[in-house]
Amino acid sequence: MCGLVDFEALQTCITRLAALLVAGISGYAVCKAISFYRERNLKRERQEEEVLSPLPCGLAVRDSGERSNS
Amino acid sequence: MGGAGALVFLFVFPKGSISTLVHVLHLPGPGAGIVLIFGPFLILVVITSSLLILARGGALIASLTFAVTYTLAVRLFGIATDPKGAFGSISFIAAVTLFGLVAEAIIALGGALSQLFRSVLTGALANAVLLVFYWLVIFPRTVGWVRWKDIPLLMGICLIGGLVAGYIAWRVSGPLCRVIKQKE
Repeated sequence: MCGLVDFEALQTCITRLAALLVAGISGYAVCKAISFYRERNLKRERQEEEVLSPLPCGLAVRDSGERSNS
Repeated sequence: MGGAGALVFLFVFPKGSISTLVHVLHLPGPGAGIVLIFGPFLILVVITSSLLILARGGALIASLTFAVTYTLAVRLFGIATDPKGAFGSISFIAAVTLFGLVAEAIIALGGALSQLFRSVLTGALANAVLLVFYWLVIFPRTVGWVRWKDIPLLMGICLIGGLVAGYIAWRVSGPLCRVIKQKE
């Protein structure tokens, strides 16, 4: 495919490729950050559930706390 | 994915960019642009689609969608393409369809092989078939016949390019599969 030489087209090609690469990396980073925060929140929720699970009802803890405060 | 791939290819590689790149790299022709850029790009799109769908016909559908979307975009918007590669013509659709058929056949026949080996093998063989089709059907009408002395070098680049693209497609499909499963 040698013959036609157009350096402007090659420059456009490299610029667009770089732009797509940057967009891809940014998108990947955003997705990673979102999944990281989701996992962290999920872990925190699970830990809270584990703390409350030995009691007959989770609400019992809050009730007793409210009573002691009042 | 085939349609999106076609639009990305059209956007990233404007008319004259592939032949200029081949000229800069001092590669012989005709066929260097096909084996180095077009073939590997098609492998990335087709194999990744096939690995994501995991159903029969994925590679063929992806390649057909690629060819049709590319041709429609070129015709509708009047985008200029390199006449040597006959991009957006009937023979272009035939070349990409043949590529998809070969990829589909290898994926179907290589069921016993590991996914990595199948992807790499599909990449190399489909790229080789695409190059041979271009040499026999398209280039004689647009540029001319390939010289015998250039065939070993171009075929070597073709197989290596296909292997690398197949490997990249396999690597990329893993995280993409996980993202899709998470969303489901």
